[in-house]
Amino acid sequence: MRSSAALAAAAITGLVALTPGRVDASWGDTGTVTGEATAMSLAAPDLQCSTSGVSVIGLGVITSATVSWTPSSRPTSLSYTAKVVEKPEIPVVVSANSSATLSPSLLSALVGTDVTLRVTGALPETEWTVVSDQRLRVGALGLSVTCR
Amino acid sequence: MTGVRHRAERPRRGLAALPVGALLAVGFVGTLGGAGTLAYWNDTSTVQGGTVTAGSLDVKVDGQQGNPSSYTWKALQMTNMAPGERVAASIPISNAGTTPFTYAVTGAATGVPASGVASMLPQVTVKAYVGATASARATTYPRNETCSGGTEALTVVLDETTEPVVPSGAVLAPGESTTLCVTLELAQAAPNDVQGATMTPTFVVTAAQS
Repeated sequence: MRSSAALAAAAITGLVALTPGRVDASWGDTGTVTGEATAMSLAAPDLQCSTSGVSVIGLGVITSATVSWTPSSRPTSLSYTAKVVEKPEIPVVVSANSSATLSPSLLSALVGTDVTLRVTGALPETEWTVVSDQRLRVGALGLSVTCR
Repeated sequence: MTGVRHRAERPRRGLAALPVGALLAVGFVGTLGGAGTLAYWNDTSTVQGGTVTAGSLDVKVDGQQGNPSSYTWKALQMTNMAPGERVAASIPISNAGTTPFTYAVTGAATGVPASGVASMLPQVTVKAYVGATASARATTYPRNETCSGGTEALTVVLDETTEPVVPSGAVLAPGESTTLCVTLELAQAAPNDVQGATMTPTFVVTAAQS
């Protein structure tokens, strides 16, 4: 009797195990779309370097270098600054947002060395900037700055 | 005795010749045998039923399936984005099936930075609006396109993890449609090394039988 009951219980268990559970299926569908955003890159200033001499009585010809560029207006007018990056940094006045002139007197502390003029364009009201460098040579006598 | 003929008594044959016990046995066997040979009359008649056609659940985005291949949302594209600029685009979501559904929109984005370029993803704020319309395409800096009308759903910063953009709940009946308007705005304070970065946001509209 005990074995019959055990057999019946096993059979019931088996049936329960075999009986599939209820499956609630619902329909679904998806649609996927893709966009794209690309950040711009500010245009680096294309630097042009030229020299010009001025005769000074008693000293001879004093040669200065002028570095110029075409200001970018993309996406709007960039604001330019210039400096000599060698320590201590020397700020250089920018004229008409498009040129900077380096005279020997400005670089008297750097006589006989090569220096780097860094021109930085900045997009107003943002953190974005772009730079270009121009190498210059300060004459040994401190009478000339020439383009490298 | 003339003319009177007496038939000789013949031996009994057949059932009469069987003993009672044998008859009972035959009856019992007959009863048992009959249980297996009972026949019921039956007949069939076929009725041509009507045609049962399954309905359909079909969501379309801008009239396109967008499934399995992603549909390129051309309006949600902006190149040369500068800090503070914002692109907006709206797209119709429609129920092209025969079954009402609820829908939800999720989003994720990719943007593998190039060498020396930082990821753009943390710098872009995504806003979604339901039932809104995008403004006209802006062409001058700063481009600040907008979504107007409708209801703002969520504001998120997308990355590669799927995020809800429009919560589930709204129902679209067959033939109905709504618009999803999305803006992507590059932060005004986006760092300098984001220049040149690219972001590809992907939005998945999921429709479920309601």
